[in-house]
Amino acid sequence: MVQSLSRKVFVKEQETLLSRKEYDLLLYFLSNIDVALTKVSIAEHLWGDHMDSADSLDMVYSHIKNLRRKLIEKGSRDYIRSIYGIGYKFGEV
Amino acid sequence: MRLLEKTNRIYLFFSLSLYVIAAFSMYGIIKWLIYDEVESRLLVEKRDFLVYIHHYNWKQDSYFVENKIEVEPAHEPTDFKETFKDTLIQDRYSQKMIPFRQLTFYVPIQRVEHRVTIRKSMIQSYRLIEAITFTMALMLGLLLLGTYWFQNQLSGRIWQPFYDTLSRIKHFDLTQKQKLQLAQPEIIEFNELNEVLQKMSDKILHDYLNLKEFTENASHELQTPLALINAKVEQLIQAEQLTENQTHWIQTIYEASLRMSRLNQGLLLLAKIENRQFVNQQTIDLSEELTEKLADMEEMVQYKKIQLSVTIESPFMVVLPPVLAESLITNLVSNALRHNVAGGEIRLHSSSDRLCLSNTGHVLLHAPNELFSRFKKEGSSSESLGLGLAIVKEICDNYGLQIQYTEVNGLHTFCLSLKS
Repeated sequence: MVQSLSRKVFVKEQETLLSRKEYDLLLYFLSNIDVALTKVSIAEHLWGDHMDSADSLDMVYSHIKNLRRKLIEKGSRDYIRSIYGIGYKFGEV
Repeated sequence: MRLLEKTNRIYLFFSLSLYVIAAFSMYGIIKWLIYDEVESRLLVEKRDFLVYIHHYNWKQDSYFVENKIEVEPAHEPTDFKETFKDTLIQDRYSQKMIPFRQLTFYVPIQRVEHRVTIRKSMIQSYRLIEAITFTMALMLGLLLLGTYWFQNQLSGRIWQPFYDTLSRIKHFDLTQKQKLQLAQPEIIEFNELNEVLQKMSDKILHDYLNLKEFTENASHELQTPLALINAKVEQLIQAEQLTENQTHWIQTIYEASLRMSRLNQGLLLLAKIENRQFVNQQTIDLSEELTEKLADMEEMVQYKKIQLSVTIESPFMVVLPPVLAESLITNLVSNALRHNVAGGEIRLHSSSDRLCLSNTGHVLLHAPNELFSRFKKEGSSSESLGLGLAIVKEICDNYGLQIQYTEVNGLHTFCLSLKS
């Protein structure tokens, strides 16, 4: 459950502490459930149009890794699926 | 030195030296003429005197006025030549020393050798010389000043069309899209100069506008097909049954088309800035915006293990359309991040007249003055578009800002300042 006003995220009524970018990332996934999101578009969403460097793609990877870990730690199922070569998709497996 | 100043100086120097030479030679000639006159009169008087002593006997109390003639026995005549000499003799009445020209000659009177000196007062002649010299000097001086003034006025008027053309060329600005308007002066050379300039500027303006129009149209017309490709590729990505090869191809197409639309957007942005299509200028605190942007990039900064130091002495205020301020800052920050090295540094220093952003990085491959040119990329990194700094420069040029690049010991610094 996401409280968008206080920017708090709860998994099974347990609060999960997410960083600002991780929260933004989660929100982006939630508004695009079952849609394949490219790494580039994720990077653009998080850092704006102009951050088009290789580093930002690496950072997308590390952010997603962290988000995934934090959600699973609180007992959530793993909703984030990586699509080889393209990006990620959020949804029921 | 200005052209007129130069010619005036030469003219003045030349005529002044001529003036001095003329004045002195005039004085010399007049003096010589008057001496010649006086001396010939003295010679005439000498003849009179000789005739007189030939017929009459010489007595000391002759009719000759005092100072005019002096006869004395010459005891030891050394030289029998007649000589002319200048001398001063005290006036009997006014006690003043009066200049005389005297002729001395020797003649035997009653078989005794006598020295005879005939004198003529030069006081009138000197006055004459003075008067003539003074008048001539005055006249010459007036003439000199007159011609100088006239020449000044004349050349000023003659060169007027030239200066007119010069100032118009100076104010000619391609981006104003206005033709260069030049007058048609009488003088053929200037007229030809203006014609040539006019032709040249018209051609330049025409080419400039053509080129600009082409870039704008090209960028504009490319937008729609690019958006279409992007949209369709994104839909294709959603398709479930794709082989590994297919996803790879699609990925490549997607990246290429994204890159193309970014390039296109960059070029369009440049064209728009050039055309000053952004209105709504506001006073913006750039140092604050930059600090915010850097904070926004926090993860990236941490990810690259970059040390961030921000020093704000006082805010740096500029007047810019907010969209461009954003673009300016984003480009500067992404530039500082992209070319940074792991474990590097970013420094922001702001004072009321300067805003500097420094970053560590590799040594430049290109000449620093090419840094702001379009498509000059450092390294072969295909990620970079090569437009960022060109956009920064274009914004600065169009909105009264100056950007300077310096590099000291691997620390690359971009400084913004207000154009004075």
